[in-house]
Amino acid sequence: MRSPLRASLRSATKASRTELTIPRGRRAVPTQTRLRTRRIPVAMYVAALLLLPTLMVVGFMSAGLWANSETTATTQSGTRAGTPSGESGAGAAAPGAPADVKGSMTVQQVIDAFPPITAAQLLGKLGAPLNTPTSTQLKTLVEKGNSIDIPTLRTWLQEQGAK
Amino acid sequence: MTMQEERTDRSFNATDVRVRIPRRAAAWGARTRWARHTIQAVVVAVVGWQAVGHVTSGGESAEAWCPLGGIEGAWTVLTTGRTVPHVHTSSLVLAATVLVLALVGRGFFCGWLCPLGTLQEMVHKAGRAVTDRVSPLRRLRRRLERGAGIERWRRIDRVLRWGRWMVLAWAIIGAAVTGTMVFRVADPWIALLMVAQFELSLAFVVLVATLILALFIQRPFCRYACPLGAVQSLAGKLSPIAVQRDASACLGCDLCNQACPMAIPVNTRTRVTDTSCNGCLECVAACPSQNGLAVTLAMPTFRTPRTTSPTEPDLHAATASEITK
Repeated sequence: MRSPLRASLRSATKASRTELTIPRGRRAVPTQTRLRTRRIPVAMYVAALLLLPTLMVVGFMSAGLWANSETTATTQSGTRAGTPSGESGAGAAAPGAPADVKGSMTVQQVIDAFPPITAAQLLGKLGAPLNTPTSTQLKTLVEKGNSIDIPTLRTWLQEQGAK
Repeated sequence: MTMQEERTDRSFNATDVRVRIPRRAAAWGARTRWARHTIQAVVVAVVGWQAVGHVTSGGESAEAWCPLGGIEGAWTVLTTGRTVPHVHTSSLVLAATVLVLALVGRGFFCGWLCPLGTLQEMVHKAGRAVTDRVSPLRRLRRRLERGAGIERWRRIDRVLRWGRWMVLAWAIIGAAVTGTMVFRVADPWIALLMVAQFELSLAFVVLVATLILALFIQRPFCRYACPLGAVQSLAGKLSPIAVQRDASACLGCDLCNQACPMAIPVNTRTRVTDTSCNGCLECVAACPSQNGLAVTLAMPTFRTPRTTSPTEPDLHAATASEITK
């Protein structure tokens, strides 16, 4: 069955480009809200809500609170060398405990954080060739080798620390 | 009596009045949709570039861009000072940003920025395009759409919508108790970010199931399972911004209801403050009346609600005559 509202809408479209008609007998109840509201242009709504997260992320970045795997690695090596850390990821922390070790960390970061352990020991544990660059991420070595995963590595680091 | 009849029946003394209301320019809705789709495309492109770059050149982890990771790991960070594996500081920053965005703009993130939502919308539109051209599929879709109006299906829909709260509880409590990202194994967002690695995992299966469902239902994951959407719903309850319907300018054409991807009955609301509203403004774009639906900002002051009774003069008759002039 054809809806009278739709028919009205169609005829209104044909008849007039500027106004619509609610058919006889079809009246809506008045708008009731306890709030005092003000219309916002859609463009302003979108612009403001896009600007807000952008500003927040930029603010966090400039405060040094933005760190992902890449910036963590660069920041920590830079901090250890005594140079000021870069703008991005300045707040990234070095692995304080074996439980903090992540696949995104490099071999160099781990041997720096746990001094008794040498690169040769770590690479040997990971089943990687001894000439592997120490800038390689642990997860790359874990994926290549088939003997150890990150939780096992954490346990091993803990045991080495206890000795 | 249907909801539509009930709503219009209350207009007691207006049976012989024809109300003329200003029409919105036809291109207005198209422009709004175009703006949203452009922003969604940009976000998808950025996230896609990030995900592919991570796989091909070992760039930064795509998970660093996951706001849900920050929400899941927040408890562990606050109590132990350590992050949960797979949670980056950037995830915490994004989680805070999404929460603030929800406090201000309700579900804006879901409707305008979320790449998983965009993907579901694209699949749904593709599904519609295909079913429009193949007649057996078109008949099946119409049957399903007719079924969607049945009370039994509405009840199932209402029950299924509790799913996202349960997933949220599982994700947050699980992460707090075990110290790992328990939801990660079934997170289609992660599967989407890792899609270039071609890993067959539970998350990938959930992603595929979501996309298959999206052929028939709009945004199925957002409706029934998204924990990030659930968090934003809670924060969004405090948002001063909402779509508001001016009932005196509403035609009752139901175009807003049909346009809503979350199946909210917009034309029965005064302010659309539903927890499932994702702020996509599809309803506003679909509304043919200039003042029918609009984005509004609630002011910090309250006023007494206006009431009407058969003894009161019909204020809207005056409005109607003014408009007719």
